[in-house]
Amino acid sequence: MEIFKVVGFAIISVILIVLLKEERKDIALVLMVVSGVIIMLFALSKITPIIDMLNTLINNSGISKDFLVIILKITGIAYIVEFGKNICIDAGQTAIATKLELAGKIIIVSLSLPLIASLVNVLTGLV
Amino acid sequence: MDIDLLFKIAGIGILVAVLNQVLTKAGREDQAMMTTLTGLIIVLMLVISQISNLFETVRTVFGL
Amino acid sequence: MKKNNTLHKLILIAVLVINLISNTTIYAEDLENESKEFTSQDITNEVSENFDIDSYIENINKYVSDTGIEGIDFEDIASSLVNSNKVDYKNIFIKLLSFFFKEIIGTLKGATSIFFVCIIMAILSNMELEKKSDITKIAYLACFAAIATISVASFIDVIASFRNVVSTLTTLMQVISPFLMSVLIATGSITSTGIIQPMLLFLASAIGFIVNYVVIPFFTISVALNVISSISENLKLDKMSRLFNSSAIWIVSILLTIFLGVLSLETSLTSSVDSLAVKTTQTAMSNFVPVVGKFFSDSFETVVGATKVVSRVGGTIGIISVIIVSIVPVIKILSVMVIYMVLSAFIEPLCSEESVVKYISSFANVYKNLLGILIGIIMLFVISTGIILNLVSSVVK
Repeated sequence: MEIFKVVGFAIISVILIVLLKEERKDIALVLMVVSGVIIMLFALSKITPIIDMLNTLINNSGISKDFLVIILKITGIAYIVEFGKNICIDAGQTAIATKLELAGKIIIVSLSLPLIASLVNVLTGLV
Repeated sequence: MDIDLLFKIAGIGILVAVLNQVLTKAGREDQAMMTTLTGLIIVLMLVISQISNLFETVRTVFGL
Repeated sequence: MKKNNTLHKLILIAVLVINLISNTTIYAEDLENESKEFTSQDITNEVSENFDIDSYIENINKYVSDTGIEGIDFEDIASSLVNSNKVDYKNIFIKLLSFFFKEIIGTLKGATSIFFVCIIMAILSNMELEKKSDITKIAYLACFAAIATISVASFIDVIASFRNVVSTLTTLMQVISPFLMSVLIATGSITSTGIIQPMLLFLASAIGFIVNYVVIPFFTISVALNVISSISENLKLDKMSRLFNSSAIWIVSILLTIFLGVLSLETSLTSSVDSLAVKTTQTAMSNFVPVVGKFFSDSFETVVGATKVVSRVGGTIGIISVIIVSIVPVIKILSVMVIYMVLSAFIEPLCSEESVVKYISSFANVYKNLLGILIGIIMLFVISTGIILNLVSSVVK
């Protein structure tokens, strides 16, 4: 089972990072980034069939695809921004982390503008 | 799951730390700094390909 | 003297010529052709012509087919009712069923889109990195906007069909009630008619008014409050939206109770007055008017009997048409409601974000209330028509 590989990998990388944190904090930081990247790559490779299934469902049932596309994009942005933010926090740079989060939020809102616009349209159609 | 990459980076890190200590104790501080920088650059080059791999995967999966 | 003779001859010849020229022939009266045989069918036909039942049936046919249900011919039902008192329920059932399935499939398609978006959002939200970090909150907001758009759009659709069905029902009542009133007058319930007719018309228009200006706005406000309170975490408007829901139901049920109570009271009171008056008139006529009194009172009873048949036909057709017209929206609202309930049950374990679960379940609540009100209004119309039909048969036994 691959989950064991992942957990083992994470444990090893944590040990190595703790080892190096004392001596060379920069290399430890790089180690953090790398291990995070590799684990995320693994997780993403497992997501692909799920997203394919969702796409097929939506296409077959004839609902407009735009919703799903926007929501997927927003989820992807959320993932990446979270990742970067956590690394910044772990490196001790919370200020940069906050700015990064701000940038992510603004991009998400700008992406979801059509959704919110259609919601407002529909709501005013109620009245 | 490249555990080898991890060990490579960790190995370079340990090597750089050791070399740093030795060279500092031996009094060649500039060389110590250069080895540190070199080690960092090598590690970064190893890592950047992984990071770009990650971003490319995210882009294709989420359609960004 | 000679001139007189010529004059006489001239006159004689003129008369003869005129007789020959003119074509008039003279018949003796044929008694057989004039005497008609009165069968009960003929009486019924004449009475129904008097009440203009054909145009009544035509009107009902037009309204029912306007709602899209084809193939139900009220004239057939009318003639079968008149002849044998049995209605071919199976045939109507089969036609209605085929129509239902079309409608249900159409509704299901629209409502399962919400299902999909909710499932997507549930799956995605379970894969988020941190539960309460701000980025994920914004992502939830966007997902929620999608869900809200789809569900509110389907809500608008349902409300439109609700409004349609109520206005069609009101129009049907306004077609049925003059017919029933004229039948009532013909069978002698004069007092009842004087009270019931304005009340029935007022009832029909009051229901239409209340639905348009009270019920629909209340439910709309409740849905809007629902959306707002689920989007924002600080603004809590759940109780207010529930208040609007319950008050809409309260108003409608109070109205229904008042109307039905007054109607049944009035009919029971006035029917006894009327039957007394009719019996008195009958007895007086048959006893005090010498020769033709008995003849008149007996023929009155015959006409009343025929009128009862006609009224029963007309009333039954009215009730059947009310039920047919209103069944389709009932099924539509019912299916949407069931889908929302199932959806909220499925979403609850999947999605950790409870505001979505609350949103969907209160939406299901709104639909449940809407359905209840619709069924209440239909029952009101059917029962009041039934009460009036009862009244017709109870005045002259």
